[in-house]
Amino acid sequence: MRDADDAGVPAAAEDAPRRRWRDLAILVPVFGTFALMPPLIAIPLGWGALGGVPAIVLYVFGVWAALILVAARLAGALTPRSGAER
Amino acid sequence: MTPAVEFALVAALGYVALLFAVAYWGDRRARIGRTGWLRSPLVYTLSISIYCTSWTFYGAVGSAARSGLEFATIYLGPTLVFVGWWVLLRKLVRIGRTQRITSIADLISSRFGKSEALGALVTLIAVAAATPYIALQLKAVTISYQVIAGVPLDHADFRAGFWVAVAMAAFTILFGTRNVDANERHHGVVAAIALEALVKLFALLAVGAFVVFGLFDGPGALFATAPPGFLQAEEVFGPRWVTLVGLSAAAILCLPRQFQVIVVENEDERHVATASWLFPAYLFLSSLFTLPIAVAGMTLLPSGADPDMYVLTLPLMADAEALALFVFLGGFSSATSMIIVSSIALSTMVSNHIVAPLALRLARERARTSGDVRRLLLTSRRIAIATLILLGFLYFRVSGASDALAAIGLIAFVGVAQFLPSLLGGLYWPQANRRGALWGLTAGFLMWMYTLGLPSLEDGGPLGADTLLHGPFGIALLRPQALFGLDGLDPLVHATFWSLAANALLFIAGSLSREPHPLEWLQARQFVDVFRGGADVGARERTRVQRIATSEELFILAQRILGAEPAQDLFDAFARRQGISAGLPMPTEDLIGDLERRLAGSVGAASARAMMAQVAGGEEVSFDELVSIADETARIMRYSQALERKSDELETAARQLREANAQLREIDRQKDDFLSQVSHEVRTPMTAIRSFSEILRTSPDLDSTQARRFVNIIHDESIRLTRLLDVILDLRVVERGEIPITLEPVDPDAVLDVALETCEGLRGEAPVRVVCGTRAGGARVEADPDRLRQVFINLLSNAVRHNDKDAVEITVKSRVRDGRYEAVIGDNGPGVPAEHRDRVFSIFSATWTKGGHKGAGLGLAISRGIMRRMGGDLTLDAGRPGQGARFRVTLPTTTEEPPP
Repeated sequence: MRDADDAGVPAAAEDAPRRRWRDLAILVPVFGTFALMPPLIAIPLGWGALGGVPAIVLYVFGVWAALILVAARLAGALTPRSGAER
Repeated sequence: MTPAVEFALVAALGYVALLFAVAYWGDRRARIGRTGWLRSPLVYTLSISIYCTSWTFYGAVGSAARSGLEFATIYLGPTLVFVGWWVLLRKLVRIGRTQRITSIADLISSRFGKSEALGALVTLIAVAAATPYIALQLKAVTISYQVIAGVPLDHADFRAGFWVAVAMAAFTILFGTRNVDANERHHGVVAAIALEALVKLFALLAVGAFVVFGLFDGPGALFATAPPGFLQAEEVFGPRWVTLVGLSAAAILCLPRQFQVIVVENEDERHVATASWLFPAYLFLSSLFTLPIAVAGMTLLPSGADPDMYVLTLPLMADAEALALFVFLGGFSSATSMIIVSSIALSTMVSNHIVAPLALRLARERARTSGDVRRLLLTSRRIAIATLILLGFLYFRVSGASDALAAIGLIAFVGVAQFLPSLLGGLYWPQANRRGALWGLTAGFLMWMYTLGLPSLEDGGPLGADTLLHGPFGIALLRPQALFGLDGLDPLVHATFWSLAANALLFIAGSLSREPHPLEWLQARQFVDVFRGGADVGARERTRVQRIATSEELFILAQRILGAEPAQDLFDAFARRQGISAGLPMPTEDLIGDLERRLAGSVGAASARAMMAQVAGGEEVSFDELVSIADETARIMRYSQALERKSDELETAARQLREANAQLREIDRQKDDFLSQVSHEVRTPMTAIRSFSEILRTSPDLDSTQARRFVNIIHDESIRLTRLLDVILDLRVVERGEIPITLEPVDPDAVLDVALETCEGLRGEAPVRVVCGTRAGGARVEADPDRLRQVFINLLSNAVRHNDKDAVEITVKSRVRDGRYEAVIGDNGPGVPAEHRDRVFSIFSATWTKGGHKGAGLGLAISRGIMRRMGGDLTLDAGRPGQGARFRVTLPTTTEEPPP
């Protein structure tokens, strides 16, 4: 991704964890798209129900919630310290 | 009118009044500078939630009742875009902030060379897509009002829709056109929108909880009543699913109102990070009860009931009237907030990209007065707001009876999705240019109209039912809903495919068909490379684009657009920055560029450029300059790397040179010392010889004894002179490595003994004691015995001569170790100072010998030269000061016997 290397210069050592978060930030929407698109999404149709709620409903909302949680963690890790970002 | 009608009416009016009050309060707080709460990431996220319009508030349940999980696609697309904010949204927001983008039309126009044509085209598409969308909101309000008021639904009661339209137009004009700079937030509007976002969310949650836990015993019991096969249809996850997720993802970026709240009104990039999870969470919560409400509606309500109104009819059926009223207000909120922000965003686009360019052309010769452009912009925005809402109402009035409105939300999505190729291309592809964007947008727009927009109207609208069924002029291949024979697809998927395919293809083809123009290239760099110093290109650009204007002209221009007071403030700030305390700032290129950018925040980049051109001349860039600008960053980086390498090399070379120079200086100094030493040495015998021969010459009556003595002195001195010259000659020979040496097996200890004997004669004034230590005994080495003796003698005589003690003591030891013969000759003299350790062996080390009478000090250099020629070495042991010097002679041993 073009944005990923926007630092331009090799990041300092303390930025290494941030770099991994950044790579994850790029991959999360990709994972989400895979999980929510056919053929993957049609699989839980055959799983029946869980506590009366169809598995497919639980699957869609589960993936959705997982994306939100990961995004919340990512936002915390990637939020630029005020003014520090170029 | 029944009492229920009046109550709903009162509630709606009261709610609108509340909105006005909140907006007024927000504006007041902003004016006295207390905006802390209004600038929080939470409010930013809540304002993004205008994505959830009444179409989703009511329609999601309807969609769920008809197609199960399909309703979720509308929220999953935006969720994916927001959790992937790092990839796209971050860049979009950064560009929006650095370029002071006022709308999506401005973004596309600005990116492709500040093109007026593109701005107008995008505005046109946006208006075409939004008008039915606004109509949809009015319809939803009208129907929900009819439902809650108990008015039969067989014909629409347009009064409610009309008054809502009037109230929203008034609200938007009042609070949405306060300032001309689109980047400045409308704090009143934001406060009202945030409130509405909360009302609609809590309304949905309340009705959801009521249905699941009030009407049923939890979700399990509820889903058990679902019709068999509901939610089990595999065809839901087909092409339509993929298309809808993609469309909604595009819509969250391309809908003018979303662009307005996400990009234009963004105040802090960190808010995007918060919204990246908070907005999906909002969507998640508002969708949580959609399926349960749909299932409950299908189970509990008569089969003829409108699924789109389940949210409202379920509480009404259960006689929960307060809840129903709350839900009605929630739906009302979602409709009004969409209308407010949509009309603000669209009016900005209309005024900046249609009215302003036209006015510029028409009023070229007219007198220019302070604030005239500002008045024009604000007036045109107010008129545009009223017109757009009125258009929406008319659309609703005309097509209100048909069911076609239900699909309008998605039709609008496909319309605005036409911006996507130009938007993404503009953000990531530098080669993308105006021609490509124009071609792509035009093709996409026409295709959208032909395949989706027009067929959605009753009987295909102007196309006619015949064309819809059999194609224009009976050409079946061109049927709008089965273009080129692509039959059997869902109309939405069909239209999305053809419009976006044509759009993207022509966008790429157009962009590749010619080189970008200079200004396009410049803008491309600033957009594509926004994270890699793209913004700095603009700063450099200004120094190359030569525009000349007087400060007065610029000031007048600023006054016309911003109004007198803001212009004065702005120019005061400019002057302060230039260090001028009073009066107008200097009209530098920096200032012109800055001013244009500031004006672009009000009128859009294209109009700002055109207006600036009127006073300051065109922003023309020659191609050569362009190339150099474009390559500048890369070139500077290459240069600086090369320079760094060069300077490293130079530094190394310089250091080596400095070292070499220091060595040379040292050698030069040693040579000077040596020369003075030698001259001194030569001079002493010469003086003696000259003075004695002088006496002999001038004193004929000298007695023979005396004369003989004198001649002896002359003779001795001559010999001394000769010896000295011999030594110097030896030195030169050693220097060239030309000492004649004949190697033969010898017993080194024997040579050492001979040397010791020879040195007996050297002992003069001071008593010398030779201490003989252990001997190697019977060692054999390859050496030239004469030269080896010379070396030993030299060392022994040094030991005596350089001794300051009254009793000289010389230690002589030898041994064989590791196949090498070693002889050590030590003395009890002062030793060699550490700093001279290396120099004693150098050729010009004469200084070491303090007293000139003791020889030129060449011996050690020559001796070492000799030893090395014989394969051995002469070294000086490191010793403590005051312990005397210990010289070590080493030679490789051999097994050959000495000749008899």
